[in-house]
Amino acid sequence: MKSALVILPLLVPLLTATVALFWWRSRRYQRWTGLAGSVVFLTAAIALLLRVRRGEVIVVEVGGWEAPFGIVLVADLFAAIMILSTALIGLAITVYAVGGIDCRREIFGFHPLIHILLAGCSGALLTGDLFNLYVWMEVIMISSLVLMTLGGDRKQLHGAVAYFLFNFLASSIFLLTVALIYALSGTLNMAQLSVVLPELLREGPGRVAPILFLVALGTKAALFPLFFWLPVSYPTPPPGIAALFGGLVTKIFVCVLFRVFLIVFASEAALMQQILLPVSGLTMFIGVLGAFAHTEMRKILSFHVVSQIGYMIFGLALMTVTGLAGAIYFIVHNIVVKTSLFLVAGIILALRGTMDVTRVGGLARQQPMLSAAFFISAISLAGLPPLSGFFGKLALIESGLATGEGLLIAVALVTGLLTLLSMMKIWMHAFWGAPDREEESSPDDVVLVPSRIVPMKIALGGLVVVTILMGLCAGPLFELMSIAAGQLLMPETYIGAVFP
Amino acid sequence: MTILLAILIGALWSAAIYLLLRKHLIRIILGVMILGHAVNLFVFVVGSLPELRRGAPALIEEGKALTTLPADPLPQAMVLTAIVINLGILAFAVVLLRKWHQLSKEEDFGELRPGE
Repeated sequence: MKSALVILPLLVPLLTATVALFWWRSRRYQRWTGLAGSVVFLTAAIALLLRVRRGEVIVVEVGGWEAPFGIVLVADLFAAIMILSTALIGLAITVYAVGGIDCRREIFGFHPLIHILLAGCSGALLTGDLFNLYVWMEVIMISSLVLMTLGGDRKQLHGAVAYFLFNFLASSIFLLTVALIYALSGTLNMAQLSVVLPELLREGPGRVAPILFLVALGTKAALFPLFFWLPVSYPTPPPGIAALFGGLVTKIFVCVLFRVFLIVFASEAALMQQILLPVSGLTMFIGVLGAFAHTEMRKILSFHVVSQIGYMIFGLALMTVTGLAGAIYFIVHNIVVKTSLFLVAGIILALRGTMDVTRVGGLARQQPMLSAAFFISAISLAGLPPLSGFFGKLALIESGLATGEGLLIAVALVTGLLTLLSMMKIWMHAFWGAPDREEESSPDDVVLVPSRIVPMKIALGGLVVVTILMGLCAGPLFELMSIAAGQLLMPETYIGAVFP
Repeated sequence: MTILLAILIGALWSAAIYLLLRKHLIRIILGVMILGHAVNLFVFVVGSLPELRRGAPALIEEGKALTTLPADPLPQAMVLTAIVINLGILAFAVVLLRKWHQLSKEEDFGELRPGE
């Protein structure tokens, strides 16, 4: 029964994708399959989280082969929390897609691809083996490549080439480093590596291994200075798909970074801190500066994705339980808020035919619910109380003050202010003011009939409710995240579960 | 022998990086493929380092006794998986190239232009 809980987050999306593939010719059945699959996935994720919420770590040895000879799936609290976020976003995007995805894309396998992507995310979070991690990362990469080019617009192809190039390069460096670590240590099991790597990393090629991992995972997780491919590629697909990328995929790679550097390279904490602290500050600041240069919503939001990742890495670099707990809370908060902002962009596109905020106006009067949803998500992103963003940033800043990182705290606060400014810019242009009379001639095939906008609004509404709840329940959630952070910072529980 | 393979891997990496920096899409795809091969070769070399199990058989014939350590099967499994993954990526890249060709004019087939 315990092992079923760990396997289900992998099995359910894969099965959903397979069944949806059988209904290739019928969009309607694909939609229903996707919805049913997402609901089952969410239930499985909740069940897993309820099981591990006290700090128990469940290990499944795939095929019955013992660690370190076989691949193990390890469900610790961090993995369970992230799988729940993944499932939530999966459901939101599937509901959104009922109205928000045009039939040209839907007919070419949108639903199976979404679920394969979700399965890849679950796999990357659950696995306890480095090479298996590489495989799941490739599953994520290939399915996101196809999703990015689905529909075949010229801009999408441009974006896809940039995405493809840099992610493939990063994957290759990752595989290279995995081979290097195997040559040094003879094992690929993360728990065992945590034990045997400290001596091996002292001389020769071992000293390069953590840095190579940082480069590879840093490119995928969009750290400074390796994030440049993200604002080129994420704005190109339609907002429903861009939401999945900007809201989920990048954060999953941040989680992988957490896992690798806290469990496998636990001994390299000082070096990582030295590198990651300035990197996080630069990521935060430069990301938000980039957002000011654009007026199209997807571009603005893509730069914000980069900026918020800086906060998460800041929490990682602090290497304290409160800092890490704050980072985990921040990741979950950000997954929800970023996705909802992208979905707002999608609804604006559906209503007005454009996502350029300077060409849209007066939505506050015409669409009060949408404006409220955007407003809540925007100030949650900027970090105002009583929403989730405030508590995440509060935790990060408090632990930063405790470790004495004054300069980075200043950068974080200034970035928060600039994020708020950027969100207000969108608000002033798109929502406030009178509707532009001349811009009513939007192309007819882009503006959707109201019945199709309803599922998009339902998805958005659900996510906004989640972010409000996260803010209200910040206390108990923090305790949960602290247990997860403790498990990551002191890998003895993890190692003890894999090698009893 | 390992030195020769190491030099080869370095040369493949250089060729791949050179190709990845070109402006034509098909050269980028070639670079991606060569990079994939270089990394696979590296993984393979890791499995056959002299101090480990060089030249040893992977499978043992029935009835024969083991005289040396058998070849390490794990890097071979890793290379197989990586080759298959790269094949999938190549398939996607070729279709991307074809779609690019369909969407662009005849003269600039595959050529990347700056800007959105």
